[in-house]
Amino acid sequence: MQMNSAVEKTPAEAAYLVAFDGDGLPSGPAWLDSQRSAARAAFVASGLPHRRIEEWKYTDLRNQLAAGYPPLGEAPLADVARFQEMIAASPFAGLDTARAVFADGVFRPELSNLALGDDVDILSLAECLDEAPDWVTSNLGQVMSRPDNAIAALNMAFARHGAAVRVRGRQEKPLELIFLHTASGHHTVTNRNLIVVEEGAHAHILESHLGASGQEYLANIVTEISVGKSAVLDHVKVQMEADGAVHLSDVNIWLGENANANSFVASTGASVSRNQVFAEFGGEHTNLNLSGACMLAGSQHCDTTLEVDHAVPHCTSRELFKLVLDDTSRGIFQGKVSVRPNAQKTDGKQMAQALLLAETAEFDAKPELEIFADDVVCGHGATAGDLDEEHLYYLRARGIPKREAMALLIAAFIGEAFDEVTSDDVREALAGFAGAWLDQHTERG
Amino acid sequence: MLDIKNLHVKIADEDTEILKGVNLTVNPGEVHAIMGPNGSGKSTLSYVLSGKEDYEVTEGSVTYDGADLLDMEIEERASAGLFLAFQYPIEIPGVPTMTFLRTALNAQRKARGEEELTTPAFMKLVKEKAQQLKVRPEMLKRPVNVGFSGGEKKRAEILQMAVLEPKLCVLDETDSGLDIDALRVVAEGVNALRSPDRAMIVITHYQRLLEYIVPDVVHVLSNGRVVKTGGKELALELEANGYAEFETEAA
Amino acid sequence: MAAVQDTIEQVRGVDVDKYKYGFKTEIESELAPKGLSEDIVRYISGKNDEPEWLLEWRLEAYRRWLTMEEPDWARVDYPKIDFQDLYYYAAPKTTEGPKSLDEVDPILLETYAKLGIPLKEQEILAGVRKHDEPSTLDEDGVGEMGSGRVAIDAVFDSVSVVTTFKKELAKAGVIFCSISEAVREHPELVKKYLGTVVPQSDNFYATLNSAVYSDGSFVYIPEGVRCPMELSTYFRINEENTGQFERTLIIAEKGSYVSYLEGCTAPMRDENQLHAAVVELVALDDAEIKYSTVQNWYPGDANGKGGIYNFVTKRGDCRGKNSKISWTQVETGSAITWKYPSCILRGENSRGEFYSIAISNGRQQVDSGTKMIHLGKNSSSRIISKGISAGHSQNTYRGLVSAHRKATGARNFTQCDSLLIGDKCGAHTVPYIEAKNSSSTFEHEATTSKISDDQMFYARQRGLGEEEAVALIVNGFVRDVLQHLPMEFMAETQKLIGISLEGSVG
Repeated sequence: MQMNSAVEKTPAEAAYLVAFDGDGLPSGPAWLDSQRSAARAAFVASGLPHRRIEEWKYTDLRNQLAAGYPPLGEAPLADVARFQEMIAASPFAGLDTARAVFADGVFRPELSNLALGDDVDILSLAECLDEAPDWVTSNLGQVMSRPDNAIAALNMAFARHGAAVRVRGRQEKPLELIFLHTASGHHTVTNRNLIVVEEGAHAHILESHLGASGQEYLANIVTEISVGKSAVLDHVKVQMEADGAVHLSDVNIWLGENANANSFVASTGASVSRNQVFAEFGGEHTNLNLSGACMLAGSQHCDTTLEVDHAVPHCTSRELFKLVLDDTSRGIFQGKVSVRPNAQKTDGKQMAQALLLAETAEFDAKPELEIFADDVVCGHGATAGDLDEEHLYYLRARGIPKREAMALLIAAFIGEAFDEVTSDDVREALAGFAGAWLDQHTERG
Repeated sequence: MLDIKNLHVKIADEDTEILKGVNLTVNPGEVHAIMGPNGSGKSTLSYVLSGKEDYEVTEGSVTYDGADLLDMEIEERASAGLFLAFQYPIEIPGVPTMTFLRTALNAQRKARGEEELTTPAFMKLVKEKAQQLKVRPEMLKRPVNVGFSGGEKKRAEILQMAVLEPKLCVLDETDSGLDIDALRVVAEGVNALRSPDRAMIVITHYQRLLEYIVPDVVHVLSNGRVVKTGGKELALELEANGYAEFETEAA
Repeated sequence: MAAVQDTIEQVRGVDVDKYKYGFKTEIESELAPKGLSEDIVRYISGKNDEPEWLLEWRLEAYRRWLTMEEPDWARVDYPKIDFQDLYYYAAPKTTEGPKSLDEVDPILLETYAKLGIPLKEQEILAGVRKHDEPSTLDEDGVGEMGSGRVAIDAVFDSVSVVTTFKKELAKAGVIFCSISEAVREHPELVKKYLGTVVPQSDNFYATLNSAVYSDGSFVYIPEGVRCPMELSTYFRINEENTGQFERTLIIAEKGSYVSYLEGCTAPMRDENQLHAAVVELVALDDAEIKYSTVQNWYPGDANGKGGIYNFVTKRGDCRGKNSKISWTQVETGSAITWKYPSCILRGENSRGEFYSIAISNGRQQVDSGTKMIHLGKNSSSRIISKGISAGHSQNTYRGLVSAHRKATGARNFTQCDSLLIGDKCGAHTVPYIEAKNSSSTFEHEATTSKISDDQMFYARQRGLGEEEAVALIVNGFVRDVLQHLPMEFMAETQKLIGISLEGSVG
C-alpha cells in the first residue's frame, strides 16, 4: 500500500485526521488501546483507498467521498416516534424477533427488546468497553485482523457503539440489529458488532440499515463473527440507507471445524456502498454459503468484495450474487477464493450475475481463483446481459403486460439468490422487500 | 486361470472389512456368476481384481495365469487380459472414443510385444464390432461416454471389450439400467466372446441377465464371503427365494 | 489421432535433457556494445539505415522509457533486471550475401535444421541474401513442401536472416519481408501503421522495444487477397546476454486473409535472457488475420536456473467492420511469461478470438491471458484458455473483457480451465469483466481441478501407463484449443505437451 504523504489530502481524509487529534476520539479501554493506535497509524499511512490499489480498482473512495465526514458526536435521542416509524419500515418488522436498536450510532435500550432467553448474551459494546467479559476481550478486533483495510482501520479508531452477542444454544427467534440514521449534515457513524457463536450453538442474526431520506451520512460498520465448532450461523443483512448516504461495511467470519455459516446481504440503498466479506476456514468439514442481491437505480454505486480463504482441507464454499442494475447505476462484484497449500479436497464455487436494465448501467466483475493445492474442485462464473427477449415475448404472447412480464423475469432472476436464505419467514420478508423495490421501480419505468 | 485364496479387503484409510476371505477359482472357458445382495462386496471384488487404489488387501492372494495379480499395476493387469466392464462408466470430456480405444488397444498390444494396429485396420475392426453391438457411428465420434445414455454406456463398454479381446472379463452389474432389448444386445455381444480360452465373471444382483448369459457356475456372495456355490439352477433358486436366507446365515 | 501416439513416443524418448532445442550455434556475431543509451539507439537505427523519422521515433520512446517503471502487478517473481548489462544488438556476421547454398554458413543451415524449420530444400535457402539488399534470386521451381507451403522469415538474435517464397508472394501482391527491409522499401506503409496499435509508450516493455527493436517481420496483404500460403517466422535467441526485441507488423487490407505462424526457441543457458517483442496487427473491413504462436523458449532447468524472460506485447486492431483477429498460442517455454495478446474490436461486427494453452512445469511462472476491448456495435469475442500447472510452477490466467457504452450488442464467451498436476504448483485465475451497456452479453466460466483419479484409473485399467494416461487426458483437456492451430503446428504441439509434462507424474 502506498504512502499518501506526497499526495494532497482529500477533504474526507483531512476530516478523519483532524478527528484523530480531537476530543471526540474514544480512548480506552486499555485492552483496545494498542489496536486503536495501530489503526490510526495505518490510516495515516494509507489514507482512503483509491483505484490504484487493486482491491479498490472499481471503487475509488478518495474520489467518491467529495466532502469530509467527521465522526458524529453523541446527540440526545430526538423524536422517538420518528424512530419507531422507521423501525416499522424494516422488512423484518412483521417477524417475531428480538431487537437491538442503534439510532444515529448510539444504542437505545428504550427502542430495543433484548429478551432472547438464557442461551444468548447481548451486550451494548459501549457499556461493556469498561468492564468487558472475556469472550468480548478475547474476540473483539481479533476475529480476523486486517490492518490493511481502511474501513476496518477507521472503524477501530472510532467505534464506541455496537452489539456484542454471544449465542450458547439454539436461538428461539432471530435477533435483529437495527441501525437508524436521521442526523443531518455530512458525518460518519461508526458501529462495531461482535457475534460469538459457541460450540454447537445456532445463531440467527438479522441486520437492517435504514436511513431517513435526504440525509448524507457515512455509515461505517464492522461485524466480527466467530462461528465455533459444529455451530450454525444464519446471517441476513438488508441495506436500505438513505439515497445520499455512503455505506461501508466489513463483515469478518471465522469458521471452526464442522461449522455451517450462511450469510446473505440485500442492498438497495446508499449512493455509494461497499460490502466486504472476509471469511476464513479455521477447521475442517466446514461449509460457507455467501449470497446476495443488489438492486440499483439512479446513479447508485454498490461494490461487493469477497475473500474466502480456504486455509484448511475438506471445506466447501458457495457464493451466489445477483445484481439488477438500472439507469446509470454501477454494480461491482469482486470475489476471490484462495486455496492454500495443503487445503486439499476444497470445493469452492462462485457465481455472479448481472441483469442490466438500461443501456447506461454498468457491471464490473473480478472473480478470482488463487489455488495452491491440487486435489480441489473450484470454479466461478460471471454473466452480464439484459432480459431475454424471447422470454419477454413468450410471457406477453400469453397476455401478460410488458411491465409485469419484466417484473416477473427480474423477480425470477433475483429470486435464485433469495433461495439461499434458510429461514422461510425471512425469505418471505425479503421477497416482499424485493417486490416493493420492483413495484416502485417498474412503476416509474 | 484365476485363483483367489482367502481374500480379505478393506477400504484404504478405513477399518471396515468388506471382503472377509473370498475363495474362487475360474478356469479358461468358464463363465462364473457372482450374485448377492447389495453391499455384499460384489463391486469391491471387481475393483480389487482390476487394481483400484482405494482398496487395501489385508490377507490372501490372487493368482492370475500363474502370476501374482495383486503385485501388478492397473494397466499391466489390463494388458495381461483382464477387462472390467464398469457398473458406472466415467465420462472423459475432450477425449474422443476412437482415440481412446485405439490408444488403449495399441498400448496393450505393445505391452504384449505385438504389432500395433494400423489406422485402417483399427477402423475396420471397430466398425465391425460396433455394428454387431448396434453402437451408432456418431457415438464413437463423441468423447468417451460423454452424453451417452445409461444403455449406450453399457453397450460402449461391451464394444470396448470386443475390441480389446481380453482373456478374463469381469462384468460388474452390466444389466443395471438396461431395458430388455438393450440387455439382449449386450448379452449377445458377451456370448459372442465366449470361447474355450476366455473366462468371464458376471456380477449381478438379478437372475435376469443369466437367462441370456448362461453361467457354468453360480456363487452367492454375502457379507464378504462366498456362502454358496452351485450350477445355473442356483440362480433360479435365488430368484424364487431371494437373499434372505443368506443374509441371516451371515449375521 | 496419430499425434497422441507421437506424444507418447516423444515422452518415452525424452532423455535427461528434456529441452531438445537447447543447442547453441557457434557463429561469429557482430555485437553492439553492452548497455542502453541514446548512442545504442542511434547505432541500431544506423545499422538498419533508417530514415530520420524512425530514429526520432525511437529516441522519443527511449526518453519516455527512462521515466517508466517496470510493472509489478503480474504474479511473477524474478530478480531485478539490469538493463545496462545486456547487448541490444547481435547479428550473424556476414560480409557478402551468399549467391548459392554453398556460400551459406553450414552452421547456420544446421541451426535451421535443428530448429525444425522446413528449410531443408536447398532451393529455398538460395533466397538468403545480404539483409540490406532486396532478393533477386529466382524462387520459381521451388517444390511444395511436405504438408503444405509455408513462407518463412527467420530471425536470428536481432536480425532477419532469410525470407522465403518472396517472389511467389509478390505475384499475389503480398509483401512479406523483414521490418527493416519494409522501412526501406515501403516506408509509407510502415509510417502509416507502426505504433498505431501498440503506441510507442504503451507499457514499459513495449516502450523499450520501440527504442531498441532490431528487426522483425512485416506483412502486407492487399485488398481482396487471400494470402496463397501460410506465413511463418521463427525466432531464435543465440547470443549470450542478449536481449531480443523484435517487432512484427501485419496489415490486412479490406477483404484479405492471412494465417501467420510464429515459433521460438533458445539455447540452454544458466543466465536469464530477455525477450521483449511487440506485435501489431491491423485488420480492415472484412479482413481476417489468424496469428498462431508456439512459444518454446528455454524454460530454465529444474531448479529455476536460466531461461528466457518473455515480456511480450501483442495486440490486434479490428479496425474495419466485419474484421476478425484470432490469436492461438501454445506457451510451453520461458522461465517467465508476461503476455496478453489482445484485440481492440473497433469495427462493427468485428470478432476477436483467443485460444491458449499454457503449460508450466519446473519453476516456470506464467502470467498470460488476453484483453478483448469491445468498442464496435455487435462485436463478439471468444476466449478459451487452458492452463496446466505441474512441478513447482505458477500459472496465472489474467484477462479483461470490456464493452464500452457504444458497443451495443457486444458478446463474449470465456472459458478458462486450469489443471493441476501435483500439489506443489499453483493455478490462478484473474478475470476482469466490465460491461458498460445492457445489450452486451457476457458469459464467463472458470474451473480448476486436477486430473481425476477415476479418469486415470479408467485409462490405466485399459492398459495405459501413468504418463501415457496423463498425456492422453491432457491432450483431451486442451483439445478445444488444439483444433484452432494450423495443421503444421498440431503434431508439434502435441509432442511439446508430452515433453513439457515429462517428470510431472509420480
